[in-house]
Amino acid sequence: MALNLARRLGFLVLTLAVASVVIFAVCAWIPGDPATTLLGTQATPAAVHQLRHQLGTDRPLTSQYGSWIKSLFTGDLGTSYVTKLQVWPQIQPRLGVTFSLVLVGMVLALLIAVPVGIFAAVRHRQVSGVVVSGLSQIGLALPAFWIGILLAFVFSVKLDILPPGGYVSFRQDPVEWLRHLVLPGISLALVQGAVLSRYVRGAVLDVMNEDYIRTARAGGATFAKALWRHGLRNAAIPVVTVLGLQLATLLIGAIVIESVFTMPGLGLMLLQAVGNRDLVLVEGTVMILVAAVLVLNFLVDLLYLLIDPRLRSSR
Amino acid sequence: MTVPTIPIDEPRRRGRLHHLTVGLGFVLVLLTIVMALVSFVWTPYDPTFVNANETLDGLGQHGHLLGTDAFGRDTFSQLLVGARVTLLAGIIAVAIAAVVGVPAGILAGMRARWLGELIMRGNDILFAFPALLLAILFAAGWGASTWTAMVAIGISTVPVFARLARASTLQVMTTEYVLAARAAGRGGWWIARRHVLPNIASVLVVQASVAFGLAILAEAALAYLGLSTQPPTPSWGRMLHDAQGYLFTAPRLSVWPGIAIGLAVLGFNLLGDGLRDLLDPRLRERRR
Amino acid sequence: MNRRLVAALAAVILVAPACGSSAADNPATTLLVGATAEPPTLDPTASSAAAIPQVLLYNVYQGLVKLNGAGKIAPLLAQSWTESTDRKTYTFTLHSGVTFSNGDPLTSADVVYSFDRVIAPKSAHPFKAQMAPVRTVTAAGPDTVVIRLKQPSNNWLFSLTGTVGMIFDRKAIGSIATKPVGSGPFVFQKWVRGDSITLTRNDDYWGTKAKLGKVVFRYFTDPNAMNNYMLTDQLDVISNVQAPQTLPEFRDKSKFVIADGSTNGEVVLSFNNTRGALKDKRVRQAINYAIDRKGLVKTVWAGYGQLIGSMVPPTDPWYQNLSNRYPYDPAKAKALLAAAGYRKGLTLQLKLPTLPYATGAGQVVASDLKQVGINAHISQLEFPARWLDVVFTKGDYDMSIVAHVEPRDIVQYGNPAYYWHYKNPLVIKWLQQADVGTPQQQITLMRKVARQISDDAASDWLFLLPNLMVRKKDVTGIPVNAVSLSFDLTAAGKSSNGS
Repeated sequence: MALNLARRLGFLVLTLAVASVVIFAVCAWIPGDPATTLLGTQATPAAVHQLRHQLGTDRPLTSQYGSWIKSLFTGDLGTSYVTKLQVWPQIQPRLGVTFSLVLVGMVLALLIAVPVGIFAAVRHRQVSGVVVSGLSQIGLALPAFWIGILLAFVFSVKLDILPPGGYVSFRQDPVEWLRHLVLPGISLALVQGAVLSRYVRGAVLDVMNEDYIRTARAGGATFAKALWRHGLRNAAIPVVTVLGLQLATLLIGAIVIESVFTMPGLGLMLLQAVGNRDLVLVEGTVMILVAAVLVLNFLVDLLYLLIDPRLRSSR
Repeated sequence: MTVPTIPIDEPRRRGRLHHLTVGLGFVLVLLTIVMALVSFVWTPYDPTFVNANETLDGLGQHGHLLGTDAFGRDTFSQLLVGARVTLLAGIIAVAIAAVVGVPAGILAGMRARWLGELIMRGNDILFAFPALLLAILFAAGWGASTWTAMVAIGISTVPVFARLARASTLQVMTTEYVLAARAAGRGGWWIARRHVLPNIASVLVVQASVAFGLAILAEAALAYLGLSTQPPTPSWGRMLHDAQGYLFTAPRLSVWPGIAIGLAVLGFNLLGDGLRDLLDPRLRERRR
Repeated sequence: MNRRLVAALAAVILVAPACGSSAADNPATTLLVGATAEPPTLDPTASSAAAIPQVLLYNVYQGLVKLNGAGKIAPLLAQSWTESTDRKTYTFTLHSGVTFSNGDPLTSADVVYSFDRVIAPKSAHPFKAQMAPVRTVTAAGPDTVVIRLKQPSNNWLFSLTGTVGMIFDRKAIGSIATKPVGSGPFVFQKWVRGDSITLTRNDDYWGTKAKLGKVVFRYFTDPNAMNNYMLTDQLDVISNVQAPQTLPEFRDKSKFVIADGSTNGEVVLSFNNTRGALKDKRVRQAINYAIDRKGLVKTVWAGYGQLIGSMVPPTDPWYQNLSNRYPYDPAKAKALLAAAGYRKGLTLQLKLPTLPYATGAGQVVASDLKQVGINAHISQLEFPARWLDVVFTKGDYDMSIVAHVEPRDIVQYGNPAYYWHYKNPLVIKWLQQADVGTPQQQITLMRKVARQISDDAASDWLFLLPNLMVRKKDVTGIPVNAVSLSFDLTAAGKSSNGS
């Protein structure tokens, strides 16, 4: 067990190292120079040359990579080319925004997907089940920014009961935090919920025909009770897995919603940073995102090892 | 990580309702393909022709079946040509994801030692780069286009296909047929072709259809951010994006591309469901 | 029972009006401004982004002179100045007792420091070229600055009204990227990235205090979102409408006023004058004849935007209406192309920046050119990074469309190295003479330049970006024309009875 753990940890470190090289290489390869982008159309060649020297972008690539990695080890993500601030303090508040949005969106998505999916599965042979399943398909097909703008228009402009956008941090005012996340969360959740509901439906259908359900019913339990006590727990595992898979694709949805509701999140910051060729900020942000996903994966795999004894002795 | 599979054992009711939904899916997909094909031969107007005198026309005005946009360009013609991009988007993304992901996944499933591990680690790295990130970076590198957007989506979908292929392959490898074949000395290629592929095909097809639909939606989302199809190429996603500014002054501009996208995605999803039932070997056996 | 309680609670939470935020603000003196481009940094000497002077110029940072509403140079930190007879020496007398918002006094030492910082050999100032005529800057007393030029220059004095003339507190220079300290009527308070920049009134201001107590610039990437904020009273004014087709949403005349003024932003269809077919004047003129600019403004910018025939906005002293030099005439365009030897047609690259007006205008241009046999192949380049790299620096393009927002940028037609590579020795001579001549000579000569570049079809000036503003009826004192890059709030206020 310990050997397994050590090996996995080793792989994690290796993966992080490879990722850092890939990130740095991609950022170095993107055409467009931070100095000219900053100085614009009236810049003199001398000024550009001077700025390159100040930023350190005229050094050879290996030296730039080396100093970046060295500073990463001391926890210093570097100083932004454009804002001259440290990278981490810039990322931190925006991480909070995107994280809150994704969290609320996921919770709402589950609130939509689970009942819908169960209903569609239990009634899959009846018209009502097929209709609900079909509706979830349509929910899948609606663009999120469309829904976002319409919701904002109805609930904010016309009815004036929710703010049209913006973000208030939880620490500042929890009620306002929630109020500002309702519409963006719903916009995100409608599409994600539709996707998830199909998986819930599938997982529940899978489980419905399992032997232990039949056994429970034979023992006198109603279908519903049997499903609840035995089925859903097993159905939950694949759904949780899908949730994890969806997390990566959720970022696109989140940045669209962030733009529609003017939320100062990570997605927009990344877009702007690439646009400004603020490469230090881009590298720092991407590194954090990638590391977060890799570490999360690692922990989830560890969790599976712990809860499912069958996997412990496997390769 | 275990991957959920959409049910295979479920005793499906092969009734009218089922046939209806599959038929609907087939029709919608066919419609999209027909639209794209027709657009190569004929469109009522040139979809890029700007006509300042016929802007924002309503239905049927000035001979425009579905009206015109803010530049006076015929909406119907744009829909026809836009179907090309829609199909292309799905094809690129799914093709990349499948062509790279499936063989990798099968290989990882069959050769479960260091090669398998390596492939799955590579998968993890790929998985850590969200599609949006890739789309932004590719757009910065080559200039945004349908290709940069869909290659990004495709690459980020590889891990899903790889994991699915691997999980299903692992399942198949434990069946009696494969064990027998291995005992009989059959090589990896033969087993892959004869046993693995046919058995995992149904799961992959469903995933492909879902992925196709999601790719179409992703193209629209990336078009909103300016990271996808560029003008003047008509694209449903971009039509939706351009219609944003007219959401309240001319809402019909959002309706047509929105419906087109919705129906196309719906079609692919329904078709995928239908194909799965057709290709599922277990169901086939039961029918006999 | 439980369920109902939860539902009630949820309803209360969702609908409860926002309490606890902004109790200290007085809405009667707070102005909420909507804008679309957020500054990348607050240091105007590190980046050329126009969003920086939009917030900081005249509001927080001041120069020796400013541009008043009529576009004329007016005194600001300098209460007066004198020119030597050879116009090569300027002596500025500063107001006395001027302080920065942090209490530091503003003296000639700060002026010298600020200017030296621009012209220093190691300086990486984006607008260093504008200070090229300066030989020395010296302090002749705590309130007097003497500037010696290498030759007379009207352009130089004009440039002092902009970013390059800003005076900084030499003691606070280290943190200007995040904490601007200026001498203006407003003080920088805070910057929430991705959200807003807040300014408050400078109560120790040396001049006439501002009427507004607080100004918040809110930044939006989605124009619909910005409009929603305006419609829900979360904004008082939209500073630069980038989606004019949405203006009908503000039809309600009892609540909103739509202001349509001019800017310095000429939307230019630029030609690479040294490349292929575009070397031939007839081809360039043909393109000018082929484009229906009136139709273009109507479809791309909802009809807002003036037609200009050269690189001169109406607020410049030498403005003449040359917009009828090349009326819409596709037949003439075809004839000219045939005469130039392109009867069979021509393919040109149209490399566009990813900006809303450029994308729209590009499609109209391509469509119009197709009608006369020119196949304009559109490609989009990310702005600013790739466009600057490919079109501007490397000159790898045939045509492009971009708005030139700097004031008086017609002078670039005298620079053959500038990305449109236009070279006319007459124009170069006239521009040099205009710079060193008297204001009257300047007007005459600039008129000749404007006419010449129009005759040569050095570019095609599609239209002038309008200064489109939507404001609530009670907002006053915001200039209608944007004569500089500043969103000038020094005279802005909120009247209680609306006007």
